[in-house]
Amino acid sequence: MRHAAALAEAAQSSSRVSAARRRPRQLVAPSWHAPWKLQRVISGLGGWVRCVAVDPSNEFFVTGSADRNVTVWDLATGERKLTLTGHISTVRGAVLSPRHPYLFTAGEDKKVLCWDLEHNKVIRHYHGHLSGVYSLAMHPTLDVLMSGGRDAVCRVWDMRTRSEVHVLSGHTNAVASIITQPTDPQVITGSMDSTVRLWDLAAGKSMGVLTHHQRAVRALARGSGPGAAGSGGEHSFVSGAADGLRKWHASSGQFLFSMRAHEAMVHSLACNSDGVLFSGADDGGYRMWDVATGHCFQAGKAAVQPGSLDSEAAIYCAAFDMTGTRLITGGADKTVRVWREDPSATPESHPVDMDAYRAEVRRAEEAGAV
Amino acid sequence: MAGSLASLLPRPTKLYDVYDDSGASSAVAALASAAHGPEPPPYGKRQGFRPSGPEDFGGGGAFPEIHSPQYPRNMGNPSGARRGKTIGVAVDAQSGAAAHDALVLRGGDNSGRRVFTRFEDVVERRGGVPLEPPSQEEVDETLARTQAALMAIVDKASAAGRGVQLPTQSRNRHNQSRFVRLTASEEAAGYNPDAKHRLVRVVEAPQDPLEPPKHKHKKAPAGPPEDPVPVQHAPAGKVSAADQQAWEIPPAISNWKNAHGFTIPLHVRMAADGRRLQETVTNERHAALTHDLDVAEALARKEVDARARLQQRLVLQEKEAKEAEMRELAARARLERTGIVPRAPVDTGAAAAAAAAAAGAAASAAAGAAASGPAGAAGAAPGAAVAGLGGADSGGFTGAAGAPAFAGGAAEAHGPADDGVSDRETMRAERKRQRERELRQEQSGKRARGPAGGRDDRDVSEKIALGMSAAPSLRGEAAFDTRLFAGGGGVGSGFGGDGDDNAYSAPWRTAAVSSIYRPRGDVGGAGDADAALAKLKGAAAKFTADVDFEGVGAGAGAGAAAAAARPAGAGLGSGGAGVAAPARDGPVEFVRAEGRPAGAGADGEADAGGDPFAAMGAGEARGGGRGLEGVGRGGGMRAAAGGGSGGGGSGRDAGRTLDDDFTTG
Repeated sequence: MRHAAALAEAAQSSSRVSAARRRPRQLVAPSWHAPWKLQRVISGLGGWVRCVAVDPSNEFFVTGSADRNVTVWDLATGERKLTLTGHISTVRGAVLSPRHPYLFTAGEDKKVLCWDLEHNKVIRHYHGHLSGVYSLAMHPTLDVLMSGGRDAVCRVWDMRTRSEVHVLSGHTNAVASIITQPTDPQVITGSMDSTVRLWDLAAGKSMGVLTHHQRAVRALARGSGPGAAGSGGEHSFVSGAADGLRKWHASSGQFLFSMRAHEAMVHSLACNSDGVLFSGADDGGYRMWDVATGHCFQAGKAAVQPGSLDSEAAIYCAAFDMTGTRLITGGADKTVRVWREDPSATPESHPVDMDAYRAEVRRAEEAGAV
Repeated sequence: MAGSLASLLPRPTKLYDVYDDSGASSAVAALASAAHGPEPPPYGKRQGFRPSGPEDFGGGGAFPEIHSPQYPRNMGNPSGARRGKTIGVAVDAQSGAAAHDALVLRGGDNSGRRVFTRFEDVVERRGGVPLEPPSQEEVDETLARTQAALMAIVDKASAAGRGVQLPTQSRNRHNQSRFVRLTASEEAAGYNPDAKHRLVRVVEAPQDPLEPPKHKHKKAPAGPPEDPVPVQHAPAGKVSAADQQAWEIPPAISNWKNAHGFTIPLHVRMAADGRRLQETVTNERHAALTHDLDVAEALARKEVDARARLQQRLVLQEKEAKEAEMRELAARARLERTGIVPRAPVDTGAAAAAAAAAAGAAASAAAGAAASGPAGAAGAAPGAAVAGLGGADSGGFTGAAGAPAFAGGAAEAHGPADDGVSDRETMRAERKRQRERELRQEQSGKRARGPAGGRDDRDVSEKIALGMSAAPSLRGEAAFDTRLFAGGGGVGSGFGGDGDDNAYSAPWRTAAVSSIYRPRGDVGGAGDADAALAKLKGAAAKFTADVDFEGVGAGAGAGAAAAAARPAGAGLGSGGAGVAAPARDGPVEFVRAEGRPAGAGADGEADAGGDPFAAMGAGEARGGGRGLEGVGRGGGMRAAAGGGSGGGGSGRDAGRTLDDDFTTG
């Protein structure tokens, strides 16, 4: 009797599933974006470029690399302006504050440093990580700093007093990526235990766990782009792993759709206010997406700097500048690349490939979220 | 007893601060108790304690020191509520539908969270989900709430941080010292009635500011793990055999460390050595390119060789043709002179001039040849032949044509014609053989050269082995100025003092420099006794010319006068220059005489329009000061001439003027 009830229940649920699959497809046409072209390759760093951050005034950008240096570059000319030495291992995270003249960096030497860019000196150490720090983020409205690393926790630091406000523990492997947003969940972390966690910053507790990914989540990006709160854009975020990209609702954590892209680890994600999402992978492949619909309008593989190994093609970090018209990436071939939109491209010259988009959507829906 | 002593003693004013992390662990315990109910009695106070229900474990595991059956979280409890593997189906309160996720959602860590448990949560949704950004009010509300919560935490932490500061040491210790009067108890051991009362001074103990903290970090035990959530992805698929094969990494085998002394086969070592894993592939077109280059080079060399050979053959043919033509000319001239063949018009102008010159020379030589004799004629013949061969241009040809004519005339006068012809034929044949031999040698290449010529392509070691290698000639930086060697004073000795601006360490030709350009002594000057004697005898006056030759200036006259003062040859018609010219101390600058066409009349007397002194002066100038010495020795005026006249011998000078020699210049 019980068995029969279970069977009936299963049949009911399967009919629901088929209804969901047979739902009439009302595809929103992806908005057109100009393809992006490589504008400049800056070489001269001594190691893998692991993180990049753009100045809020849009005058310079900062890279952190495996040669233990934090380098400040001029955004317009691409010239090196400054090299900050202080880390004793790879610099893995860099954040520029829009409210302070501060630069925050974190590295595999367990250090989280606060640099005063008026004196180019370290003025604060945030001491407490038990192992290397892999990611760093700053709260958009509060003066707190989030750092996560190999000790599988995300630590919340009070910027001024250097005290550890919260230890957001719950991950079972290294925390590889952090994003923040002004409303709950204010902290979202992606970990190498292949989960994404949403955190309640006020209580210091986990608000939810997203277990859809099968591989380490090494990249996260807010779908609304780099704009401030309430500036428009989507209230979503994208997570990247070796099994593809996934887009989520930024408040509830509801899964929206997946984007199957790379056959390699996705190291970097960046989104601008126009809704262009960049994803860079470990094999040097990159893709440009329309983040609203998940349409990939550009895919390619950047050639590595001459003299590099074939395995040194990874794109480790990416950031759009404040205007969203330049993309800065850093890779394992020790170069920083600047990309820009093709100015000569028009919707006529590069039309949206709707057939490919439909095929991609159909394939994704038939495969299910596996 | 201790209590009485404590009551007797005054209350301490200072206390050691001993810090402990027990507060943290108690906070964890409080957290655990809040989550899991009442706490079991602490460790050490569990005498008679028997855990009966899940609440007695405080969320933790079993107590190993309590020897009774224990079922934390009712795990494995045979009489508990959760006995079987099947659990009851919970029902949704509103809809009445089965809620399979009730176990995950109800109670525990997931109670306040959004947990995705349904299949719909893994279905893609493109569109249909509103993605409006939160309103500004929501942002502000969140900001205020979070800020307050964080501020509370930061304040507490900073307050705790202030408490941790090291106790400050009082600066004035005497102000802090206190006096305490002690009254000893009579029951105390060692009671001394004489010292019933003692006055004790209490002073703060000095404190080392660098003393490490006395507290010890204690690692708090990890809290219970979070309640699990449904995994929303498929389990990892089974690894295929191909994948396993692809990921198989051979164990590393060291060539240096082999602690057990196993015999490791060579192919395993080679496989472990990573050097041969990379295969260098060279494009096969490199080989093709090299081969093609070799073929092209060989072809080019062959072509160049053939071209050179052809050119050589052409040159030889041309030479032979010219020689044959000349021979023909000479034969015709001889026949004409002997009158066997009537005069025929000669087709080329050069041949006509040559014939005329030959006739003139023969006529003038008829008288002079008597003095020189047949030996002179025989000696002149080879020289004339050489001159005829070497002359290529018309001027040389003219002069050369005159000589055989003259020689032929002489030979005819003194000997039979066959004799001269056969001589010439033998010589001609011999010369032809020689030329052909040279040509063969050139064609056969460098190999035909003697070992002294050397093959350049031999290696040094080969040369040494063949005995061909002399001491290597010094080249480049190895070449030294030998004058720098064997200098007693070293480098400083060669070039004089610092002030001297000497470009060379030694003068060039130290011995002869004074006699190069200078006329010897004051010849012809006021102090020359010979000149004075000659003047007195009137010999000089015979040769004194009142015409100075143009172009040379006054300096040339002195040399000419000196030449005139010496005994002149019989054939010298007239000579001498101006006596009034001052002494010359440099080389004569010679300007070519105007109005004397090259190849004009062969005889000086016949050429009355020309200036004989100009020719003579020029001859003297060319010979230089020393050239005049040869005048007397030759028995006539013989000046050096260019072209092929070197083999002319002494027989050529008799009865001739200088004009022939100078026309060739």
